[in-house]
Amino acid sequence: MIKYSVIFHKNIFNWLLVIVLMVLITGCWDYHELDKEAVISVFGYDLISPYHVKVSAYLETTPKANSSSNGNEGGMKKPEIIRADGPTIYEAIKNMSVYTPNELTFHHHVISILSEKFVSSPHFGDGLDRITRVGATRRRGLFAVTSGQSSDVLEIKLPLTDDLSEGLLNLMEAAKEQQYSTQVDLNDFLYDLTLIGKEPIIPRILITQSKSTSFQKRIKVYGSGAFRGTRFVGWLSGNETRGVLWLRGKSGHPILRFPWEGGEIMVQAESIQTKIALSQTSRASKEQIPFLIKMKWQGKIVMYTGHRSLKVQDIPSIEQGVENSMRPVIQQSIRRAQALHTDVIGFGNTFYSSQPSVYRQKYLSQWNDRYFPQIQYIVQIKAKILNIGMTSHAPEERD
Amino acid sequence: MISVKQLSYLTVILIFSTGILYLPSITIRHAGNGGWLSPFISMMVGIMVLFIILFFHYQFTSKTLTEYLPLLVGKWGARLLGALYVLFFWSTGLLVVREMVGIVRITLLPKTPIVVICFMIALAIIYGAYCKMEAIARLIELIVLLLPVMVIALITGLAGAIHWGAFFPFIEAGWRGVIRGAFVPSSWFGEIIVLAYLLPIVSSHHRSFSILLFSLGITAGLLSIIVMLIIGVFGASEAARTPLATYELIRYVQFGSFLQHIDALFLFPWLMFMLVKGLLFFYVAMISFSQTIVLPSYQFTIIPLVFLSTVVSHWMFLDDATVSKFLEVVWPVYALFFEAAVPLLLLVLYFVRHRKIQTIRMSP
Amino acid sequence: MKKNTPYDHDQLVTHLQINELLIKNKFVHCDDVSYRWVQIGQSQQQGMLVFISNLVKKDLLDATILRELLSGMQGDEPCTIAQLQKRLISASDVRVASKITEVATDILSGRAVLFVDHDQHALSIDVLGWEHRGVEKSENEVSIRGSQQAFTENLMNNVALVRRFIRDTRLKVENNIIGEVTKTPYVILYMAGIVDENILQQVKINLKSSKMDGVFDSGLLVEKLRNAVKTPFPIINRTERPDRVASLLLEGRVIILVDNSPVALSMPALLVEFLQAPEDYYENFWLQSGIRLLRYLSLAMSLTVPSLYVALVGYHHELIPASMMPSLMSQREGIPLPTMVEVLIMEIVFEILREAGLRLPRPIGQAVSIVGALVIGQAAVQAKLVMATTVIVVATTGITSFTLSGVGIASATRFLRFPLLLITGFLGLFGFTIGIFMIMIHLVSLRSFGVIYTGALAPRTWRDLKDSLFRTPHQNRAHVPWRNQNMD
Repeated sequence: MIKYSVIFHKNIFNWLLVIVLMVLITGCWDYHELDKEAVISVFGYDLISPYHVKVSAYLETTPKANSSSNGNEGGMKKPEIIRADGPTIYEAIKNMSVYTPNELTFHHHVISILSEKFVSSPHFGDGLDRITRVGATRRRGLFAVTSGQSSDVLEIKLPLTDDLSEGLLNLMEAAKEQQYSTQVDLNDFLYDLTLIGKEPIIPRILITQSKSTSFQKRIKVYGSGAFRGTRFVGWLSGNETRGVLWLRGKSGHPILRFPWEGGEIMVQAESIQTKIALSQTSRASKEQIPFLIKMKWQGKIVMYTGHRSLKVQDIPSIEQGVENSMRPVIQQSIRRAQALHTDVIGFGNTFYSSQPSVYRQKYLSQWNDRYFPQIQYIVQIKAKILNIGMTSHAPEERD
Repeated sequence: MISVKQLSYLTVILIFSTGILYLPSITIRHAGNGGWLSPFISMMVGIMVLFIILFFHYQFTSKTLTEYLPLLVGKWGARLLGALYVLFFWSTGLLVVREMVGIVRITLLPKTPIVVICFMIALAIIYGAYCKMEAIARLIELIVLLLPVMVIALITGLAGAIHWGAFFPFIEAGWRGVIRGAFVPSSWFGEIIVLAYLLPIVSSHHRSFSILLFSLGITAGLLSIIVMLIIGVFGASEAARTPLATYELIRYVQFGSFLQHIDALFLFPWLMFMLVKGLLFFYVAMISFSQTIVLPSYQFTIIPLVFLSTVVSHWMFLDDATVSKFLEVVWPVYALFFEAAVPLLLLVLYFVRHRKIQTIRMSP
Repeated sequence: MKKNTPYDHDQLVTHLQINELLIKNKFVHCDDVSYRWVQIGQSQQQGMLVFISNLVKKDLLDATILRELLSGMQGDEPCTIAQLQKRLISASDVRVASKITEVATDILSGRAVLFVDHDQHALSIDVLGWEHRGVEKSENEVSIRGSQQAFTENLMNNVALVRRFIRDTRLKVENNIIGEVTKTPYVILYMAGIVDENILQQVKINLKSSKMDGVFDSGLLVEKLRNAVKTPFPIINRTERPDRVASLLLEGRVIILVDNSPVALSMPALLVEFLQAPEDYYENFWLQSGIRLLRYLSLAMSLTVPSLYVALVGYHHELIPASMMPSLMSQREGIPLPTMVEVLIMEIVFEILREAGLRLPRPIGQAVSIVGALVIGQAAVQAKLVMATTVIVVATTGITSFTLSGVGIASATRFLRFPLLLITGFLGLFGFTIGIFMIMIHLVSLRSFGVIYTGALAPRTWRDLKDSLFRTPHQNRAHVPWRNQNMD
């Protein structure tokens, strides 16, 4: 015992060194070089038949120097897309890795594009489980739905950028700003999915055929797909998406246009605040649940095509115009959601937040089908013009 | 000699380091979106333990728990209890190492054999134990600076992603749920029983109770912040589904478009804290072991203790799910027995034996 | 024992001829020793002056001793050494010796020794005057503001330089000799009342107990002084600036100056003082606080940057920003060596270049570093032998280590960089964490002469931080920020 202690006391440094070396020379298991990887930035999921999933992956490629004589221009990236299929997502991704020489990695994955058919099938729900269970992709990974084949989207070259993922990201940012569409990542989707009384939406990617010669096909992020649980149930148009986002209280700076005093006026929102509440809690046990929607719009005038000079006295009437043009958008989006039988706005959650036990007992199971389609609501909008712009009226010729 | 300030830093790191690993998910599973209140309730256990060990420390100054056990329960009772405490500290250290191996395997080195990771941790712990408690305390004083950085970075990196709706309805599982959610974390707060071995080497006990109480409060606050962030970002039901919720949280942090996927950076301080915690438990196990069987020189005992634990952890917990389940079901009962039940009994015993106490000293 | 012997072998005798034989016997084959015979004044008394001609100042010897001896005193009586000392020799530093070894040492250290007939004592006179370098600008510790003086090889000059900064009786100067053969004089300097007595005693004991044949530089004493503390970190500071020494003295340090060495040793040393520079105190404190933080950053960087780079490129690719990914991937393509080996080799090459640049004459040294850094680096990248990023990383690491003014701390990070690189190369960021953990716990467990090495950082108070991490205005700092409270 004593000797043992002495040995370790005297030569602890040497012992440690020996041990470190012993461990280290055995090898580095997790070491992998950068060029041995296939970095996937965009995924496309398609459903060909009920048990036939096709997965396409857009790879981050290195700018290769062209061997041909045009030396300096050799930095262009050529997109590389790999495809594989299988009965489930698992199988498809597994097959993909079989055919790829480099190791597939998901850490720089940016966006998953889902086809309409795919999200209408149970494969999407299964895929969600796989994604969150394995943890290969991050919860920052974005989602988008497209009505056609998602692999078509991957092949389109976006203007100004070589990188599809970056381009899509910027398109979504722009759409989010105008609120014709939104940006939904895995975490937002799961949050809406698991929250009681709220259903998720996912932005839509449209492929438009353009007549100009330079780009045959163009991508547009416009509108969204409404979900019920993990199942896709229908499309929301751009305006309907706007209404949903306003009701959800998402930030953005949408521009509204409406006629006013012999011209047209355009206003841009600086902030929209929404508050939804049960209007009379005592009557909440009835079939038709009444809600009170209070909105506060603040913004500025960005264009006016009429010939009047804008004055302070005009502002209330312009504000009235804003309110009048917002109301139908909201009503339309609620009508659309009711028609789809999915509460993408979160009325159910408002109800649940104020009366959790009542909602759980009576409404939870039949909310989307029975109660949500016949809710009553009152919309109160309060618009406020903060700024009429740098000029008072449009430039005009002197008579 | 260490200072009370170092001891308070130590308390924070002791509880926080592994407290954010599996705990938030377990708490949220019981307490729903009121889980952020649970740490404050489980803190009560910590305060009780702190009170008891400080009380005993003032009665038997310059004696550790193992050393004053004979004065309370007799020679043989003390031997038995002392040995049990050695086992407890050793097994806690083992568990910390195992949790660390789990997180390293999941996050950093998925293909590296568990043995190698265990071995490296063991190496660091042995080396640390040879550097004496003063050095450990100073190390803690240095690395505790990383804690606010880590928490502030988490808050700022996630501020935009918080869904405020997740906190409504207020405490959806009710106060009963909150209290049930506080049960498992209370065993983490009870871990400050290790202070019973460190108090004798504290240089000055000026305001030690209030400082340590404050550090317990800070710890509960930090845990609460983490739970709040988890609920706000993921929602309560999604968080309950994710055992390593804090890790998922860290993976979600993003600063603009240039600092993305920085989970590995957060892991550096986190692993550091966990290493210190493991080191601390093995150090205390080593001290209590040598004091139980009265050894003249004690530092070499760390080597068998640590290596034995790497072997046992390998054999006891083959997968991470077992660790998580063990922490949720077995561990609180097992730990609270040593952390709260035994000290309480000792306190009762003390009062029974010293019925005619003239003055109970609450200062040295 | 000596009492019984009638004749002491080490004792001078009254006969001059015998004394001459004794001395000559000591200095066999020492042809640089000169013997000058004189007749003192009008008397018949013989005298012999022994000195080493290159060590003494001839003018002084002629003026103060020879001329006086030749003129002599009044009267024909033979005079004693004591009389000569009192009345004839007009040198200031004169001392009476009676032992042969003592006489020999005096001769060897540049004094002239006068023997006279009929006296068993000798007179040792200081006429020291060998060639030495004058006080010059400090080259290794350059500063923009403040005194530009640097120590030279002359011990007593160096002490005088310090004296010129501290005009106080509390500055104590203790002369000693070390080295069995070389008998090198050294000086312990300290401020009485400020210095910690325990540390002073510890320093003296460590020096006394050391048995060395030769001491040629203060660097040789360092290992004796640290007393078997095994660490790559410097726990004894060194400087060649008198102003630095003066400020260290005021902070209660013990300073050791060794003859023939222009570098002073200061102990105990704290980690923070290796990150301080003299200008910190002479310039604006806002700016200097920032610069000091910058030094802490470069200390951390010079230790960790290569390892972090390997962890990034070899293990945790997700940390690389998406926009950088393609460029890094294309750089990596076709490189034969794994990143870890690549960085390791580049680091070693860098160290070789640095060493080559140091040893070569300055103009060639610069050429070597330019050729090495630019030409070889550029060529290696173009030939696809190494990644361009690797070259950048290695160069950055090198530059960060140059910003650390304390030479010792830079060499510690230079050394520790390699084990850290290895363990990170094998285990990624986990290995890095383990490595940093071990380095840190080693660092905080260090003590320099009983003082906690990381004092002011690890046991920290706000008062200490004012002059460690930051540099607050002078009136905010304690005048003697000595950290005795860290002593246990």
